[in-house]
Amino acid sequence: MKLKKQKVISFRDYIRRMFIINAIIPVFCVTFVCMAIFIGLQYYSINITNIEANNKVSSVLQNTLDKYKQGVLELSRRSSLITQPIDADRLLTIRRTMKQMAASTGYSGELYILDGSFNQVLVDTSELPVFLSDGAYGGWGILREISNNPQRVTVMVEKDEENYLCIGSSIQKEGALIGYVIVLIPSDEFSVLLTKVSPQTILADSNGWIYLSNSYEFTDALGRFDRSIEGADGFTKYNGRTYYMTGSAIENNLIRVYTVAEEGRSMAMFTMIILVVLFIFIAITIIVYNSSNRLARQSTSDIREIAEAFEQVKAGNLEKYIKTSSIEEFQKIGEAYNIMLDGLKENKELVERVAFAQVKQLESQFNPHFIFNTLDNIRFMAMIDTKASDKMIVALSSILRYSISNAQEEVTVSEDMMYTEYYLSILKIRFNRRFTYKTDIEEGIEDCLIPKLMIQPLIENSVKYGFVDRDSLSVSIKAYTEDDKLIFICKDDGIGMDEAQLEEIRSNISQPVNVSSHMGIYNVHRRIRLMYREGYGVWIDSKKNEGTELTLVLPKQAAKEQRDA
Amino acid sequence: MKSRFFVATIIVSLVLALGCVGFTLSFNKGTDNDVIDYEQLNIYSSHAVEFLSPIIAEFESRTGIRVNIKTGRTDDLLSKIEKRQNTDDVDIMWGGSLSVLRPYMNQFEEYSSVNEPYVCDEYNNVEGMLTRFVDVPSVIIVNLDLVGDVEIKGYEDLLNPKLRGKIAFCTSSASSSYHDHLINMLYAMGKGKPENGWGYVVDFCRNLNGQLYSASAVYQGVADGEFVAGLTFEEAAAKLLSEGENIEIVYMKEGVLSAPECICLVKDAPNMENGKAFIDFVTGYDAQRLIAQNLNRRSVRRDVEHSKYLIDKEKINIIYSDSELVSSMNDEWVQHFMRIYSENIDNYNWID
Repeated sequence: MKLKKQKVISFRDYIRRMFIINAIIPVFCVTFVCMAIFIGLQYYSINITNIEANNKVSSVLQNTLDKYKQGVLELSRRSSLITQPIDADRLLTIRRTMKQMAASTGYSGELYILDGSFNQVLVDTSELPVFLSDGAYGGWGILREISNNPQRVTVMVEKDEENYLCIGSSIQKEGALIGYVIVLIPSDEFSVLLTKVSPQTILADSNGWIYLSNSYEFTDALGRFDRSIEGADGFTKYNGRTYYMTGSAIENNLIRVYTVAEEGRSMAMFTMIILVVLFIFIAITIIVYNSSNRLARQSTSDIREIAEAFEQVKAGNLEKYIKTSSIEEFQKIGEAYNIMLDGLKENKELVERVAFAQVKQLESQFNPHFIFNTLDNIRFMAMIDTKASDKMIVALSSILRYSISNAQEEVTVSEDMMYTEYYLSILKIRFNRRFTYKTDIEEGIEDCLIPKLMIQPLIENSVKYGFVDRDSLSVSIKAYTEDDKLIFICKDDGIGMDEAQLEEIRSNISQPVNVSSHMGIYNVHRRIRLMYREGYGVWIDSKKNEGTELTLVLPKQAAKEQRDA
Repeated sequence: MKSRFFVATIIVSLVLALGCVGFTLSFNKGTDNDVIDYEQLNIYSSHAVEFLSPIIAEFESRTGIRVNIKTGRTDDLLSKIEKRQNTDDVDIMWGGSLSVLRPYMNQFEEYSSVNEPYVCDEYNNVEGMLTRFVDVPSVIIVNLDLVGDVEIKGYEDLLNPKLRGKIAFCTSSASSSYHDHLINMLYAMGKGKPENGWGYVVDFCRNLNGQLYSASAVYQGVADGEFVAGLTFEEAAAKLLSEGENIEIVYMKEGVLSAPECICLVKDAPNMENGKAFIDFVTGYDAQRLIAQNLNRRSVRRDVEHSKYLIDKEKINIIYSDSELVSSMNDEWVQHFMRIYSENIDNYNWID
């Protein structure tokens, strides 16, 4: 069953990721949501404060203007003010009306009535503002505006020693302008109003000429409200500082009210808060990151030990026991594992004993076979060449002694080759010219350890199946190392075998019980498989009429000092 | 992979943080809604703000043209006009006397105001580019509290040893009053021939001592009693009188040079028509009357009376200079004066 490709991460990383996801991300989200809310509220409150202040000033100003405009309009309809002398009663009425207007608006204006040639008819103060007192201003300023628009009430900002809001209209008789009614509200009147609202306020006319301001900023070279920011709304930079501006216009855009809150400090505070929060956030992130590392390592140490123990078992080491853990679940797992490990070890021992017994049994299998063959040879040789038969008997007895000596399970290559040579010499005597052989042992492998009598059965196999009806046979034995493997190749130029035969032998070799006549190869392969792991054994390759090649693969084991000793 | 996750978190947080900062900073841009596209006029002027304000306010109110002003010293403004890369920021040069402006004549556009027929003959714009708008003659002011029995009626009287170190004179090349007085001196004391006036200049410098760098320090210094007499211009003197200072204006008996101030339309002015409208307004009756009556300068118009603090022009010994000679020699004369001045200034410290 194949699973979809899935990234496998360690339990420790998983735990750590959980920490990060469940600690850093919520902190992160909450921080930024709070910051956004804070900034939003701050902005909202600035905006509201400014708008309220602006509305308050605007409405007071508009209300005052409206009342006085009404008053001026009523006075301007009375041409008798100019045409007849003003008696005490009328003066009283006019003064009372002005007082009432001052009382109802809260801001008192000065009343000036001039005749058509700008002579004073009725004035509130002895010292007239220059733009009313002097003939030079006849065609100038408020007087010009009134003359140009005699039918309506004119509102204008004028300057003298101080600034005045002028509300004026003409007095007409039979369509001709005969006089002027003007109410002046000095800017002083509204300065208290401006102190009642917290942001700074600037009152200016449509061209920016300032009527009243409680700010020292925002003026140009001529003292006008700086036109570069007249349309500004919201946060505005001016001379390197940040302000929050709200502007509105009243009286047909003749008077503009600018409300300005200096935001430099709160901006700096914003920035500071953002930086501090960012710093805290980064600090938390680093701390959580590090502690998550540590916590993950601590809390997964038992799991890691268990995993490691399993890893060891996989590698064949059954000595790794799990230490007791303070966590109940892990302790149970550990105990169970340790019991299981003991079971495994007993099992392994059993298997090893069985394998050893099997190996012994297999080793002993070749003996009668070999002895039978050789004795047959000796009998034959004794008739034709007693010297050779004697040599064969010596060689045979050496091999027999070697095979039955149980002292050492494994012998060096050179030792085994020595007995192989005995065997070959027996064959040479037996077949004489019909049999040739050569050995090629790579240098440096003479001291490697191998199970005894590994090569002999291969040669025996070649001789047994290679000749059949052939006249001669040559066998070559080659030994070399490749990586960690020791490889012996036994090659003959005999009759070989066809595909079917080859397949039969190959499948037979892998069976746990031998059913073929190729006893030698089977036994060698079985012994190797019992002694070593997969990857070692005998492989056979052959072609009909060309020969057979047997490859023996063993682990490379250098002779140990103590074994030599 | 874990570090990638960590890095991603950091990056996202930084992006959000920067976003937050950007969000707050984004408010800084002022929004320019409801700004009407007004007609504009850009003026360079060396006049005082108190002089400019009422005139510009009235012009704006009448025409709806918005005036942007740049104030500064006459010579600075003129050199700016001369070096200007683009003509976008200046339409009108307003300020500086005829003698100062004449060398820069080719920087200005020819324009004859609609009021030219009402202008006195001597103030006619004969060059075409230099519209006279006021006359500010040079005068001597005397602090009446300090002068005692010393009689000061003209330049000659300033050589009185009793006045040594007590005369205020601005010798800053930026000041029109310095140029005007120097030329006035040369013409008045040279009896119409400026080259003959240098003898007086030497004597005057010997009696002068000390140097003032601003024209206002001269008249303010006399009014405050730092100096007995000061060489200044009529407008400043009249203003002091209107403020009630105990001073006397002395029109030099040797002769008072007519020194009209001009207003000029800058060549290739971007707001040419508005500039012309402004010149017409400034030379118009209303503006001239206001300037004469309230701002203490002599009008160039025949139909406008001067301020009550000034005497009639007929009572002054008016002399005229050869304006072409003056503009060609101006730099040389100034240098020559400075030489004489520095030769005679040493070893006498009038500030105790």
